[in-house]
Amino acid sequence: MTLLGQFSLWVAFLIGSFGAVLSFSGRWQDRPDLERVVIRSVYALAAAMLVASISLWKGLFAHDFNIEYVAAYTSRNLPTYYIVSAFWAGQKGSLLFWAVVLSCFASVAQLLTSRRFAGLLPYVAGVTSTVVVFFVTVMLFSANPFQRLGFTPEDGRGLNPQLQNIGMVMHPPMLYLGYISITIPFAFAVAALLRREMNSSWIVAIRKWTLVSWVFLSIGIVLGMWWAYVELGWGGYWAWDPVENASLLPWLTMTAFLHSVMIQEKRGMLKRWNVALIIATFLLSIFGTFITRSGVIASVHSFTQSNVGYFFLAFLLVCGILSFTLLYTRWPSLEPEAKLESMLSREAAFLFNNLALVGIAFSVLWGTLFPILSEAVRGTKITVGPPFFNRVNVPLGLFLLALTGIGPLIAWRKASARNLQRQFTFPVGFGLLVAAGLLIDGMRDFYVILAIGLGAFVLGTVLQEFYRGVRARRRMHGESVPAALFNLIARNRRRYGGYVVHVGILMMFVAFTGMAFRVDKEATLKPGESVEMKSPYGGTYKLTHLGVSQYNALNRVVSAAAVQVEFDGKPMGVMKSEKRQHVDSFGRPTFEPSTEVAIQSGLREDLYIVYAGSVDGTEEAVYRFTINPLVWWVWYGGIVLVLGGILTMWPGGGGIAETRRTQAGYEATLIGAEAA
Amino acid sequence: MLQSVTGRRNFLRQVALGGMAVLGTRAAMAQGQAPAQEPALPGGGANGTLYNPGVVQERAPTVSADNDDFIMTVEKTLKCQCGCNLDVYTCRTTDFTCTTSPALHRDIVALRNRGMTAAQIREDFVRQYGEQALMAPKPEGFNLAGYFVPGVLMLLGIGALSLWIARRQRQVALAPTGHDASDATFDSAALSGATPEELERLKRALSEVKD
Repeated sequence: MTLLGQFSLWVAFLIGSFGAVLSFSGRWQDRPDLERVVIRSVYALAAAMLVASISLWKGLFAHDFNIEYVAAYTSRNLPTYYIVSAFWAGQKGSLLFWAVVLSCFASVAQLLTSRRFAGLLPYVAGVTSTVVVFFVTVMLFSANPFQRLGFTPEDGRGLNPQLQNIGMVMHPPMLYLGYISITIPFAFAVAALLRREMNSSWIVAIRKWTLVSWVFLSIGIVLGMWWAYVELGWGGYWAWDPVENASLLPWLTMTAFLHSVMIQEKRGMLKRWNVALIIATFLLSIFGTFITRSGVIASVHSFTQSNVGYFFLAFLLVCGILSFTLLYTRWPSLEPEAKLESMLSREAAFLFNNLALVGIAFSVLWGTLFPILSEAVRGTKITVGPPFFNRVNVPLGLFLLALTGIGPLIAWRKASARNLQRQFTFPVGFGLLVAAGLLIDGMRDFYVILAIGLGAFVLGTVLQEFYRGVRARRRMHGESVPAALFNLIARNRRRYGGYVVHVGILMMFVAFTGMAFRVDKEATLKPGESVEMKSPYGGTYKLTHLGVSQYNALNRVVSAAAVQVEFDGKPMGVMKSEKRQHVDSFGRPTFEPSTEVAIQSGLREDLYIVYAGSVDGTEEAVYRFTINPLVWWVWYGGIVLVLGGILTMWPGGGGIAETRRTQAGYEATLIGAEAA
Repeated sequence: MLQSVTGRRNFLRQVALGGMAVLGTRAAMAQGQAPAQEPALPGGGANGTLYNPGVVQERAPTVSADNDDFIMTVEKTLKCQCGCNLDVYTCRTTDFTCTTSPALHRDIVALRNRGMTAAQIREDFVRQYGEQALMAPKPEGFNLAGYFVPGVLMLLGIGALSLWIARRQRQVALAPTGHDASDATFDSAALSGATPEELERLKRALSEVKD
């Protein structure tokens, strides 16, 4: 199978190169037969990549330990679902995963894109094929997943225990899907620039793809946070690690694009800015891959250091120079169709929102690269960790949260004083009321009061929008409240889906404040001994160590420490934290013992128990107990955020007709929608 | 015969002695087990020891310094030198295979016991391990760029954007228009076919949902 895999990679390389060269040569423009060849080369490329992927999976499932990748990431006793995830667990496999998913996305883009954009598709094929060829080149010349060993080990090393978690089965592919699908909007943007199709209609073709990327990236980031929380055992979910930051960067610029693209659709403005954002988002996704794979910045998440980084750096530079040069040459033809009329307009609010998002992206990038800059300038190595990022980014994040509420309240074009008063009275009052309530309750942390107060303000804006929309529908159509709510959302999914996303964001912001009240305690307990811990909300946990039991599982020896939990005398159940010593099929240890955390999650707080080890090989156990307020809201905020994103991109009601209507002025869409 | 009688007596005596011995042993065993009648410990192994201690990290018992707020706060500002990228506190309470962070923790406790303040402990670490021992660079010299460049650029961006919008606003105000911007939608092409009833409905709806 390795021979077939290797052969498929070479076939993919040749087909992709041929398609890309033919596409960019432009010879297809007067030759429909050549145009068809370009398009079909995309499907052939996907087929070759699928054959290569099936070959690797076959090797993984057949335990062909003569393949270096199979021996490095699997063992005979690895559960089946982790054999599936071993495909993307290592550097080489994840490169193949990138290439195969991108080639499939490229095919789907060719199939699903409306014939109205047929003129763009050969160039889109050229861009996507070039990116796939780049990944295939890296595999063929630097990180070949089909590389064979000089001998065949009797068993493989197995998968890193920290990757043996359902979060790691889901998180990397979701993140990759987000990173990879960004290539499609980028390809459309480059194609539009090459074709000089500078009207706003092509934006429709890429908006949904950008939303798809955004949703996948959001799921990937939230799942990554969840995995870090439940698996790594440090009690947090975001450490401002370079690899975490690398995933946040394209998410931020994509979020900025999804806001500013509305201005282009409705007013024909910000064309240059939107193209620049799409290019930047693609480059940041490649930058994230470079950071993860180069070893240039120390990170707990990165793959082992290899020369793959040089390939990515070169690709990043070439793509950046070519894309921005192309944008520069098309600059004059990207003139806006309308002018911004007032500081007090939604367009202006969205511009400030874009500034905040891009500003935060810059700030995160700046902090991530500052150690390299400092070493280059001063020759001194420094560390830029969470205290730095929190200090710099918390004020920017709160500014963005405020804009999240302000943007939807201001009218398009120009808002009157009466409009502002009418729109802001309830949300501002609600926010102030909540902030005052916190102060009266004894809260003195400035950032916490500000974050929760702004969160209440944003919630007020969303509630007000839904309330007014439902009330208007009830008056005009005599609908019941549920029917009015359903129709309101169904007829304007983008707008109300966007509000749902805002609710998800504010839930997460409020949840982040909980970390300020985290409580930790270490304790050594013999069986039957207890320790007490006070909750930040009041009340006391009594934690009684019951003992340690040991048993063999499929590919590990488990030592489970049990703790009986009581809260103010009320039994809350027994929690078990584990130490796992993973072994191969011959019972030989494969990795250092890993920790499985015990978590009891609630609306107010999580109780987080880590069994650190034992004293003198006895059942006297050392624990770290942590009370983490509001963590539940991070996960459910993430779910709401993703649901809002899915609602926004749900098919129906969009397209060019809507764009034309909206370009006629937002208010006109109301009557247009009613008439439809 | 005599021998057989003696043998039978001997046999009975031995049976009796054996029975007493068995009873005595059981009684002794029961006495020996008395301490073990405390709550049964899960996991096997005699006397509370683990059945397989080799698969669990060996840990020293917790001492009061491990939960000292001052120590925890200082440790969260200092980087572990094992290469994990975490602070000392997080590393020593997360990666229980690390031997560096517990050693650094002991150093910090020792420095604290010598009466050093948090700033002095940090300085001591910087002397030993260089500036990278701090989780965030000191806000001085070139490091100030790290802290202030994003904020300053953001402020400059806000200023530039405000000026740009204000300029545009002036240009729009100076340009000849046939109508007020706020009323623009009512005479737009999209509404040219609207009946007076529809326009009235629109006005009512807009008064409810002014967007």
